[in-house]
Amino acid sequence: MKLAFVVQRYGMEINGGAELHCRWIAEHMRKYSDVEVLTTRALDYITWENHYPGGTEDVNGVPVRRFSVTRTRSPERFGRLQRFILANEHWVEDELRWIEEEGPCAPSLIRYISNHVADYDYFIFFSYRYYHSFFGVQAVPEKSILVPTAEHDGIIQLKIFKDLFNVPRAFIYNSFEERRMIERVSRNGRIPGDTVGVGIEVPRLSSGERFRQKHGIEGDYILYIGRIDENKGCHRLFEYFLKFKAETGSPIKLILIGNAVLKIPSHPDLLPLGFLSEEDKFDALEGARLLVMPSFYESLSMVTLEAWAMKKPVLANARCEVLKGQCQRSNGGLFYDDYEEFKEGLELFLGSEELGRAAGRNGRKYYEAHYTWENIENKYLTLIGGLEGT
Amino acid sequence: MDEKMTEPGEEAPIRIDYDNLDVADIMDQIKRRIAQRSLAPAAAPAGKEEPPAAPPAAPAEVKRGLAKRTMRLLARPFMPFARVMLDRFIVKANVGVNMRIDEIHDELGMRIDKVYGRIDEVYGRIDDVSGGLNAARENTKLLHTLAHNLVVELTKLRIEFETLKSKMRIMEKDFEVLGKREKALEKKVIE
Repeated sequence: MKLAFVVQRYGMEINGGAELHCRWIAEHMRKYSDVEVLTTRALDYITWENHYPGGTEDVNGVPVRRFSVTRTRSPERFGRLQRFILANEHWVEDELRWIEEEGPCAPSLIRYISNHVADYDYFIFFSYRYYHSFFGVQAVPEKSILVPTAEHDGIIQLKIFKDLFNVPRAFIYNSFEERRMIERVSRNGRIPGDTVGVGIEVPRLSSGERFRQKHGIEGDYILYIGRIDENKGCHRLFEYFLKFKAETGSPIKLILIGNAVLKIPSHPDLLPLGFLSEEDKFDALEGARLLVMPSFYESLSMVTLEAWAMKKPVLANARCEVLKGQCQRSNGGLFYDDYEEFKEGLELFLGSEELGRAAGRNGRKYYEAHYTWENIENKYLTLIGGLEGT
Repeated sequence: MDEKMTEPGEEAPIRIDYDNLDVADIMDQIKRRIAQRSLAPAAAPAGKEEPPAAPPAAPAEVKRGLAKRTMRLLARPFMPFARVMLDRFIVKANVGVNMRIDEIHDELGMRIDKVYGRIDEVYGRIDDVSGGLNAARENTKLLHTLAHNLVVELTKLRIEFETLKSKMRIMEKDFEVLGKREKALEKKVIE
């Protein structure tokens, strides 16, 4: 069997989102079948400028075929068009223009898929909202499996996507909430699919003490991991955390791990450490009281799963249905709708170590039941095996 | 195991069963507590400022000033309400204008997008044309080099030809001399 994984960007430098998700799955599925990745030459997710050389290369044992992006994205123009289509009555042509603006526009990738249908058994497309999935799924409907990685935003309501969600041979969803949302939008319940997500591996040895010594951190801290961005709700997190500090006088610190694209307020207990290695990240988790997840839009939060794998509780934004649903199903974290709930939740966790331990234990059980690699690989194999028979 | 988290005041305690943690239940309790807090009576408002004593008799201008000040003092309690009303009035009056501005903004945005689209097309064509021009330039360069090389090769061949011609002449002369010597030797042998 030969599987093609089709994704907007691919490379060891990309350390988050659907791209990392795709890389991990491709690397694990290599054990069971021939695997090839079809992607673009882009690295920058804002402009999609060509960065990697074209042609085929080997990334961590997986052959990767890269195609040129013919048109870079202008964030201003794209933003203006997106605002227009989200706020106004518009034509399907506007939506098609939106998808071309969204990019990464790589017609040669779509041509390759169309011309090599017979060379692959299945094409697994990641992220529904990009050019490669939109045109790629329609090029090979009978052999396409879509991993939508959809978030609860306005884009999913576009007409072109309602149609797209009725095209693939099968779906692999990240969460029950995502599946429900897509089925509600497109009424595609007849198309086979499973809720899978991604596997998480945690190091055997991690040390909070080592992290504290390396970065000179004293006292208790809560942790945020991810891009420091308004889209991830970080502005609201800073506002809530600083208000919490002012009101309660708590000595707790907030440590931020990840690249910042948002101005971080200056405060002695707000500690941005930038992008850190995997070892440092898990060390930081080991030493943290909890992980805070303020994002409004997630289809699956990998760091939340990592925190649970490390037996750490989570304080998540309840406005994100996926995070709230995961907290409720796992009983591994509390969730907040506004500042008052954030304050109460944080106070509860800081006031009772037993609560943190109990939630962490539940999170670990949830991880073991659903997100070990063995589970994930089996779900992929079962789904693909089921398609073979139909 | 049930544990009570007692809080100061009369707030409802959060009950947590650590062995069978139910986060939805904890969040419900938190929501109830917050709702209870918001229902609690607000703090007593600050005491009202006493109006100043009536001013002594004064000339007409001073009297007008005093009247104004008195009016302002009397109106002060109503000012927040008046401000809110005024704000609402301004907002209402401006709704139409703002909507129109939004429409114009969107329209302009779309037109700018179209212009950008055209610019992209033009750039695309320029790219195509300049791509063709570059190819033609490269071809011309190649042809030029080829012609140059041909000239050089022809010159080399010409020189070689001339050299060979001279060599041939020398060899002809040598042949002539050798012929003469041959005849001379034949004569001597016969004699």
